[in-house]
Amino acid sequence: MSRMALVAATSHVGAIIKNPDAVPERSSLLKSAWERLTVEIAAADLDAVIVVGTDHFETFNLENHPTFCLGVADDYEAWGEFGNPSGSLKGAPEVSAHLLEGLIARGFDVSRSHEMPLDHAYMVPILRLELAELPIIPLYINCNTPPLPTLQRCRDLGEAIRATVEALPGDLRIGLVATGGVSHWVGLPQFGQINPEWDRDFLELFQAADLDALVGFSDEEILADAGNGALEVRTWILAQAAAGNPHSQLLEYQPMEPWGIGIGIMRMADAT
Amino acid sequence: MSVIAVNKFTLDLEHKPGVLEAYRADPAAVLDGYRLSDAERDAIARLDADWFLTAGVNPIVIRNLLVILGIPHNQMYTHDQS
Repeated sequence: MSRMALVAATSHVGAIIKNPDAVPERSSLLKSAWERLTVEIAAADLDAVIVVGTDHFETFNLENHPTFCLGVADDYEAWGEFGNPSGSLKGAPEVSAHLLEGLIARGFDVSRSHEMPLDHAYMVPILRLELAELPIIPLYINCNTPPLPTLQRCRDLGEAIRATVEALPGDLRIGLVATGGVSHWVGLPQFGQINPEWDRDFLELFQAADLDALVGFSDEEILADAGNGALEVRTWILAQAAAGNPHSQLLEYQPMEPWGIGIGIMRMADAT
Repeated sequence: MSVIAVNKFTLDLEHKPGVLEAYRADPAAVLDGYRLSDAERDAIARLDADWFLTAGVNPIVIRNLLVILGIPHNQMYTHDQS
């Protein structure tokens, strides 16, 4: 039986790669957490990894803007926008096809893309967590162009992904890495602000396995308290649901002022 | 407000070969290729993030536009528009 073998989440700001040593006493803690997660991912012996992220008006613009879009390509090119990581990645088209079919059968009419260039929302975690050697399945969620999918809808999609993965033919070990958040303001006058108190309270809800509370936030609350970048936490909520709502482990949290963001790293699994 | 024209212009500046260089050489000629209002053209000339935000352009698009044209993210709302 196929299974969801590893689920995690991390912030994805480009500075993680471009300016890794800012505030060394904090960034070293983040680096250590990413390295621990990288070891776990390598040990999970994954056949493919679903990377759940958003897009920053690189791939999806106003001519055609899906709410959910699954990559089904043989391979993916990276934009390398604004000095972010470039390159190409291999896909997992057969697994993608099964996921697409399974999600639609479960009531999620996700779009598909046979050519889905990836921006830093995908590429930074892929590089930081050394996922590039694995077949990649990108899943896009609209996190920045209202109306956004509700947090509950993202939770439901996570549960549907878990059920679909478990129904995949064979004995596949699938990983899922969600990317985005936590508090940050993009392209707004508040750029550079961070709300560590909000971040810590929010991340605590994953550790408490409290999906009901997590989906109880309104986008207006998130926007006011944690910025438009925090609307990306819907990827984390999807991941928490895809993992079966465990008492997730916060591997690290640090407010990174030079990066203009609160950085969270989470392993969606009960403590062992 | 043709938000989509601002988006298209921003995307082309970033990704379509030659557009950024052409815009720097002759801004008006490049902007003529987009269905922009006079107010939008003026806002692009001033790189006026406040105007775009009030007009309903997505903040991420505003960030992309201004950074491509040389305004750092942390100076989007404070740079000299003269």
